Amino acid sequence: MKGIEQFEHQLHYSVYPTKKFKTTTCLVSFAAPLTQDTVAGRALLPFIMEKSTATYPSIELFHTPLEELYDTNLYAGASKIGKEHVIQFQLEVVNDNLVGESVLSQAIKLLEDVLLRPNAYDGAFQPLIVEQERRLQRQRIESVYDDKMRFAQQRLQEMLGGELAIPSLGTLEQLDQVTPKSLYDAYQSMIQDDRVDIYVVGDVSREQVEQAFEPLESLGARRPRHLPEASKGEFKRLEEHQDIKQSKLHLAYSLDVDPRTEDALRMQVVNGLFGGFPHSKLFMNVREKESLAYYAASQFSSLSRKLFVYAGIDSTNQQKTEQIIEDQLKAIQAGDFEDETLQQTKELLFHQRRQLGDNPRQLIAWMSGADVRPFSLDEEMAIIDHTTREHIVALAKEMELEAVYCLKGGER
Amino acid sequence: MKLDFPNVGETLHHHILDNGLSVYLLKKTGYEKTFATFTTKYGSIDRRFKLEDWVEVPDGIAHFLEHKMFEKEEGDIFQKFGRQGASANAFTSFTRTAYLFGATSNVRENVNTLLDFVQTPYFTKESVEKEKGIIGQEIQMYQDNPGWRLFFGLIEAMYDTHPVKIDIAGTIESISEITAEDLYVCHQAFYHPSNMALFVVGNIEPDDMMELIRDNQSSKSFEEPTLRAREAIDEPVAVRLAERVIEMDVSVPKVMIGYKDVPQAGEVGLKQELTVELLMHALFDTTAPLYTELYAEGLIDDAFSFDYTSEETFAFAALSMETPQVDAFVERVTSALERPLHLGQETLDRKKRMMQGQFLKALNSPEFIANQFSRYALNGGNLFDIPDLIDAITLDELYESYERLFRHDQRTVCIVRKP
Repeated sequence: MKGIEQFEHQLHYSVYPTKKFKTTTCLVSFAAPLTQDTVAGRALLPFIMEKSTATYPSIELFHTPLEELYDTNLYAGASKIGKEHVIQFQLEVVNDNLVGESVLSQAIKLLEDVLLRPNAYDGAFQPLIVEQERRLQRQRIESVYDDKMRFAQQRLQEMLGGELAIPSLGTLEQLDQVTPKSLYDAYQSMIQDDRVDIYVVGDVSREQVEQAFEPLESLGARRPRHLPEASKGEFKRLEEHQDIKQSKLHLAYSLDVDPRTEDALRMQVVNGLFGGFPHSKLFMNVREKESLAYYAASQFSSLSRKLFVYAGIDSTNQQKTEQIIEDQLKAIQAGDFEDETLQQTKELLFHQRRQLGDNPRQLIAWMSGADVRPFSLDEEMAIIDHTTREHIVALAKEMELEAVYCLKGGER
Repeated sequence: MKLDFPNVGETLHHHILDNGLSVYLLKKTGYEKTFATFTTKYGSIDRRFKLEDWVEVPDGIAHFLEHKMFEKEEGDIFQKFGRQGASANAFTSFTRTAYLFGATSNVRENVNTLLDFVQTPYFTKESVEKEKGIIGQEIQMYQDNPGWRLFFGLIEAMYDTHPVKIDIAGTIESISEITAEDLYVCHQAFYHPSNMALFVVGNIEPDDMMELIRDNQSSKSFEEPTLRAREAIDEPVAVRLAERVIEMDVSVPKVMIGYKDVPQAGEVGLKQELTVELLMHALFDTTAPLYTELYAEGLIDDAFSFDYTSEETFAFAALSMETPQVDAFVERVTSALERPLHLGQETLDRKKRMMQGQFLKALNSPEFIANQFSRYALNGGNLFDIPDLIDAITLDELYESYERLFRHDQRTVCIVRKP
């Protein structure tokens, strides 16, 4: 993306100054290695930190100034990205010139408050708040069961092992081990040891950003990025039953493609032909030709080096659907696709990239991923453009089916 | 309180063409993408209407028609948009069907494609039969979704006769009756340009775009509109059932509390919508006394949400929560709403600032502008009136809304829980 300024002090900054939005969006991201021991505490931390601070020690007190500031959003969240666990704080503020007040500087002070002055005393968060949020987190972990697509994908990832198997909120047992004290230690570790990246998109200059985030400059540590290695286990298959109407068929293919290479981008073309779009083979055959599903799609996760396929089907059609999916991959491996379809796939991949700059949050998400990939947006598009049939066939041939999971409904 | 919004920084172009089509164009400077929606005022509730005679069509047909519009003699229109670098989609709601695309290239071709495919019906027996399997799976998927079951369980219990209570996609039985002829009848009745709005927003030159749209439309001929009337709906304001429990294998019980409102059309409807929304913010946001109280007792949390649905012929407020303590939650919320309202000017002013901010933030999104503007335009309102309408809301109006809406006989509680 042209116009993104990157610079470092203690922290790493990416700033995109633009007047085209009504808002300015800031993201402060803390990254640490993903481990079983720390995930439950780190996943709980943002839910506590976003609700109150030492200065504003209740939700009501803290949210009142956010409402006053034209509904400034201040969200925190945690996710796993490859081999890292990332806690992010996002601030979205209406531009000063639209309301004739200096909203941004006041909002950044509130963000600073969240990060530097948490609602904690004597090395521990408030026990009552921790209990409350632990109860909620337990409920969140349990309610994955109610979203069958998520449930099936989580089960599939557990079958694959490694980082993929670590649930992003931790397990119920791990959550029970968290204490107000251990949580505060997790907070300390986050602000001292994590790699801190700051992203800003909106009507600001580099100087303004440097000045605004100066108080955070004492945070964090230089840490290298942790990328997952290639991993491939034995083929596994698992079927489970629940009282549901539609069965969920999820597949994982693995292949050894480094996420920093051109091949990782070319895989987006392979995925586009296979199941990424409404013109893809999976949609055209599983849905349009055979009427077996409402959705049948694929997604390539370059960091984990896996391609996932999912379809919602009638349980009696499982074998047939698996066969069709296999046939579609074989067709790509045999080079059996039209030039026109290939071009269409590339056009849509271009479109996805060109429109990134129209949405501040998408743009920030891309900016943070781009730290891993060595390519600019234009370079990415050139690589996609120059992806040949030979590239595609070779990559498709490397894909190996590693796991099949089916959550079955209907008669047992 | 005076809110100083010199303007929201947008310019809108509006034309009504000779064939009756309303066209809205909005240039977003600096945006790469152009986003277009072509919307008809036709949704799942339009199941009985008058042409020469009264016609009744199977439930779920508006949604079925939306699916089938993409299939043409020349092939699948999704593919055509794809070849032109655009990402297309469509959705059907209770009252509208919208076709849309986003594109960063070939915008002119894509606008023509959008207009042409929606205005050229092509249905065959075979393709209609094939779609029944796909939509059947879509219906099954929603049947497994507790949130969807809860929402429709609520509406179904609230409404006596209003077709809003019928699932948008219909049922596997109802769609099995749909024929190609039915689809032609509905298309002719509801896809006339005078019943539709086109909204194009993004990287466009409004004058050039207007010319292209005029050229496209003037090259086609349309018969006079055949739709003479929609069924008048006689729905009492009291709910049909006060309570409904749906048994489903869920890990955490889910609840919705609905309050049925008196619907309003046009500008009055938009004003009522904003007033009730502001009232609900004041009552249920994290800064509200009720929230603070229930949070301290562990009865409310991040899973709580609220929403106000407002269309010409139906309107209701819904509060949604998931908690093992469903009964205590319902008891506390409903009894709080039976007490008199206490709301001060300070809260009103803060909520106004909050809603103004929400609106401005939403204007970042071309999708929001096109979808919401079309919704208001087809109901006789104007999206860009929102800042002024918010500004004009008074405390008295909030008290009036509270009195009208939160009544015992207008309330339904719907719960999804384990058997």
